[in-house]
Amino acid sequence: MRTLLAHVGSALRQAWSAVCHRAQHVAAPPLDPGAAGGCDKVRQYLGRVSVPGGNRSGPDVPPDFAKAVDLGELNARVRIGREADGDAWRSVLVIEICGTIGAPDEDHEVALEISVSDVTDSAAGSLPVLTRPKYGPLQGSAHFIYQADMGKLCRQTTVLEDWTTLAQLSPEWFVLPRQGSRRLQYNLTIVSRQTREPLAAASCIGVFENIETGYLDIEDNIQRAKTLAVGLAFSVGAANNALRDAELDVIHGWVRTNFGSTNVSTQAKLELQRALEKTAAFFRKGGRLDVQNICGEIVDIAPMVGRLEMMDLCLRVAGAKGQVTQAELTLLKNVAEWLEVDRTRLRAMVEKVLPVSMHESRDAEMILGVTEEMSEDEARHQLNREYAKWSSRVISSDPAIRKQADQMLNLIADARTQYVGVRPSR
Amino acid sequence: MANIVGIDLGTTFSALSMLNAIGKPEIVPNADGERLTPSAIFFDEENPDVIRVGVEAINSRHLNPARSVRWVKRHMGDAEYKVSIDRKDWTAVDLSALILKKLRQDCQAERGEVRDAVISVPAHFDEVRRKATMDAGTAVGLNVIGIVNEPVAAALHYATTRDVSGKILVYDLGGGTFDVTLMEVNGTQMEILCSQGDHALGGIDFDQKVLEILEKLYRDKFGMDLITSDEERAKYEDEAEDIKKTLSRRPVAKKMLYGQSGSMRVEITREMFEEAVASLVARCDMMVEVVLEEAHITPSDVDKVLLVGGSTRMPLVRSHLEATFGFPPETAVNVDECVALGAALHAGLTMVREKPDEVDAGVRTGLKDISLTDVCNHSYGTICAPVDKETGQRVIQNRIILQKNTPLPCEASQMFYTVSEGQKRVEVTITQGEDTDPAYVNKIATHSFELPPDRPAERPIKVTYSYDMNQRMHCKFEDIDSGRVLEVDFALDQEGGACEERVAEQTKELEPFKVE
Repeated sequence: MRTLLAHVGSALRQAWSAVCHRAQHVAAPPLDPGAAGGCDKVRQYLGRVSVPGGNRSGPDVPPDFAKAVDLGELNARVRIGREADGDAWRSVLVIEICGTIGAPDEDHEVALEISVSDVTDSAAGSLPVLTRPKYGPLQGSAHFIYQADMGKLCRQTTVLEDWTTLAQLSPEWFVLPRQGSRRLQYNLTIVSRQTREPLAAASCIGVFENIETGYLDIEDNIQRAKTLAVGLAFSVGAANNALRDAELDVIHGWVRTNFGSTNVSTQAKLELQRALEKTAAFFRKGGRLDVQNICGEIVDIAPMVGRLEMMDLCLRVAGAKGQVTQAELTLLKNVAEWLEVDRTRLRAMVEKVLPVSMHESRDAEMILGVTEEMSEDEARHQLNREYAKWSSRVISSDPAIRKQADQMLNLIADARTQYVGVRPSR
Repeated sequence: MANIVGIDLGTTFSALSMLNAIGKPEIVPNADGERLTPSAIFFDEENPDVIRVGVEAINSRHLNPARSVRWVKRHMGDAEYKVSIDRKDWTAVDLSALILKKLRQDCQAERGEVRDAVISVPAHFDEVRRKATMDAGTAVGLNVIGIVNEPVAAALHYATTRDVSGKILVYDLGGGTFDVTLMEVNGTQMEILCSQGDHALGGIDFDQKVLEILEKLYRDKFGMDLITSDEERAKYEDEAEDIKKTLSRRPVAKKMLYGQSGSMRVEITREMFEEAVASLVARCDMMVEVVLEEAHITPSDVDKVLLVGGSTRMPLVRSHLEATFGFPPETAVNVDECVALGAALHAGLTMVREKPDEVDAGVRTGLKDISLTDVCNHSYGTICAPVDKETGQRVIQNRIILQKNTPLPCEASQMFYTVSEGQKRVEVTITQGEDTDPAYVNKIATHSFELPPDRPAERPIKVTYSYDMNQRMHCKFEDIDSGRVLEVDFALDQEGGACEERVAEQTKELEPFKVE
């Protein structure tokens, strides 16, 4: 089973690799890189910096970057520091300088600019380090540059004989390309505030243990997760032992949106089509995937926003033929559980994508949120909540919602008689 | 001085009441001498300019159901609802206007000019439905000075005719709608605490269940359908209503069914009926519980349960309420008339507040001790884009600013922030509804609010909504940095030119029709 999924994935990836790469920078990725680690987690502990001596040689610093400090020019180094964060401490990258800064005149106002790049893989050249967005996807994020005013230089020529802390960079502010041990190059420039001309520059390299998922990792994860999502979607479509054309149409549409763009080659399109046909044939012959396993992998690599998108795909596949069977509903509930999508959110999604008129059987938990385990009082409260919700929707300006609300109110009332009962008048 | 009237424009029956010289409301009988007028319309085949409203329309209905209309109120505010008769499309507003025309005309014949009126609506009616009701009144020449919630009207009448205090639950199960309202009453001082409604539940749904029993009994015996035409459906709908009413008085109702496969005698027991309507009663029970939960009280905190609406005559409804509250509901007030009577009181109070000079001194004196604190009938909010805590993504969401059941007059503010750097405008949407999901709320207005250029993101915008006693709403969007303000006003009695034109058009269209 995994072989087939790998095959689908491989076909999708190979056929669309170039396009995917481009598409990642054009279309909004379904997975939110900003949510991969979460800023709260970062605050607790983000990484470890191992920079023994900046420009000075040290065990972790490659020989070509190690040279003696020349006070006639500007030198820079980076070390790990700690900064109080409420009751806890957080790591910061401390940038220090020594040496000479020349200014056009005395009392010259200057500013600092620090750019950071990832030079871990010399073959790939330097990779940008991106500014971490406050929220939302990384896509479109600018390269990280730290800027700060330094005030006035008292003299025309300033010589710093000792290492002096110039800036503290919080790793929360940027996103590296990859997780793990990364070599980061810090380029410092001291510029005139009046002319923006550089007055002095230096660079240094430090190794940083990045515990966060990098943006390239995220791109890889996105591709992997998308491939897994296709497998999930096929599994949902085949849940009632019949994969219909309408279901395939939904999957094909999703694949076209997520793996391609309009300017792909005919050959690539054909390969993708073949891969999907093979997968469809596999399912039509009774082949099945280990859905729980797939979901487990997705949870490992995809943030919640991506998982919700996959859940939405599965729901749309289930609803493609206009009716949802109990087998499909059961699978959808399991998928939601395995993707760690909570029941309330799942029910909200089902309400919108699979209105109750599409349900072949009435699954009280999915439709109304009542379970066998609930006490009579709990069931009563849950049904009251649903009743209040749908009785306000029954006056919606949208006729489809009005109709859905009408059906829901009848179902809620039936469930009430079943779970709580109605006393006769005598 | 002008006559002041209150109109209960009901799903199955309507009634009109007028304040007498000392400010007491009295039902004005229609031309047939009946205190209630069926909300039924029949378009005469012989004379297309004559439209029959009331009992005659009910009686003619079986002859030609295609030219007959009932239960219009269920469709109020539904833009898609149209009844096509003689190449004219009649909207719910047009049809309601015909009923109001009949009520006004019959009252005028008896009591002289009628202009200023308050019309009652279910508490859960939204702005669109309230406005539609108002337009129907305006189209027949009424000066609709206000709209009152039916349970509030009923309670007004109740509180002014009986010595009562404490928490009163008004249980209003009418022909087509159901409302439950909780109020604090102290003599003639009334404060609404909470109100909830079900737009799709009323006596006609109970009739439908009886009809289903009849159809099943016939099918079980003959293996064929009892009803095969619209005429038969109309006939058996009325039979079903009769059976329901009989079962409210007696344990068994007997009928003859005449279908195409033969006739049969049926006996419907109260037990059969109660089993069939169990899910409807469950809805009623839930609504009561929802109101109590919303008000954070238990049944033992309620001092009295007041019944309103003809459907509350069903013993099952009464026994359920007794079981829930531990005491029988109050039945002393006429359940069919109290809404119209209370609507007239509300009309009087509105006139005294707005145009005291046009109100007789006797009426003013009669109403002087009555005080009513109403609440917002719905929640009002705006669409915003907060960050989802779980996904970290922005989501489009409805954020409620003015909460439902807030006492009037009220005002509430919330701060919002611009999303992006250099954002030049915000699209502000005013919503009505209880959901956070924008798909499930009604968008009542959308405006573009221009902002100063070249600003960073997250600039504060203060949104303030206020709602006054006359159901006029004021929305203010204020850019804190620049002081720029966008203000939007809503009122049921003040609408754009297009709406006024439409009402004028309706008035003109209705003029040639004679209502009998």
